[in-house]
Formats: sequence, C-alpha cells, structure tokens
Amino acid sequence: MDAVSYPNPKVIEFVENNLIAVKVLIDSQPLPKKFRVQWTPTLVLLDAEGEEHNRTVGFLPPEELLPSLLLGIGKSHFDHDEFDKAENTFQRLLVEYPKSDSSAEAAYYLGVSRYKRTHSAEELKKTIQHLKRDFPQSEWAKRASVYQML
Amino acid sequence: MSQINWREDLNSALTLAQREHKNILLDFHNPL
Repeated sequence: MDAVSYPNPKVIEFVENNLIAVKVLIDSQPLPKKFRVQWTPTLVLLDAEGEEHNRTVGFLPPEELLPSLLLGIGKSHFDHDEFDKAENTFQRLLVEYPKSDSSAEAAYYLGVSRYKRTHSAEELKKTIQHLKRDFPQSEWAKRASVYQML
Repeated sequence: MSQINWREDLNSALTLAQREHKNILLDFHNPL
C-alpha cells in the first residue's frame, strides 16, 4: 500500500479531503488486539466515535481502494440513519467506479438506503433489477434475490 | 498535497474527526 496506492495523487486527495488517516503497527498494542487484527494490510473504516463500519484485508490498488473507502463512508452514513448521505455516497461510487469490486455491494446498499428513506417496496424491487442487470454474478445479486418475491 | 498526513494516535484523530465531521481510516501495517 505504501509503495503503490498511498502515493497515488487521487488517493492522497481523497483521503485528505474525506478522512482522518491513522497508521498503526501490527505489533504495537493495544489497537491490533482491540480490533482483532491478525494480518496486514488491514484497513478499518471508523466513525468519529470510533465505531467500525467496514474493513478490508489485503492489498488494494488505487482503483479498488477508492471505491472501498467510499463504500465504508456510505455504510457509516447508513448505520447512522443518514440515508440521504448514504445514497449520495453509494451513487458516487457507482458513477465513478462502476466496475469495481465494491460496486455490487454499493448497489445493494443504495437500494436498501432508498427503501429505508421511503419505505417503498418498489425500491427493493428496483435493487434486484439493478443487481441482476449490472452485477448478475455477484453475491449481492443473490442476497437481494428474495426481493423478487415482493 | 504531496502525501497523506498519517497520524499515529487514534484518540487525537477521533477528536479531529468529530470536529471535522469525518470518518477515520485506520491502517494496520507491517513495515517489513
């Protein structure tokens, strides 16, 4: 990550504008034990109260790191009932990184955020249609498949 | 901005995150 992804100008700009970045050595306690981290690199996305909302393990190139960070920010908004902000974040991910490894999960959470905001089952039906069209082989299409029965 | 401004102390980072309404990226790494 230090050799490839963190020096990337887009990554630097995104992190500096959107996040507070903290580096922790794996052998410096207590944080690795507190967050149950056994392997590096592990990236944990926290809210400002220190609660975890997303994590990834293993190297991510810039074009996967950026959508992964957006996904974590969106899930943090979602977990705090900030569904409009969550929608905006997931939508941004899908527009800027439509084919990333985080995109199918973002599409799932985009639909669920819309449902939580509107309480309209139509949003869940649109979600499975979106996933079947754009991410038919993803685990998130399977997870949303039950919405076809609504 | 030429590089990411990495911090080492989570508690001070949390205070900053609350003030700036931002999330925290916590990177566990091994320098070797």
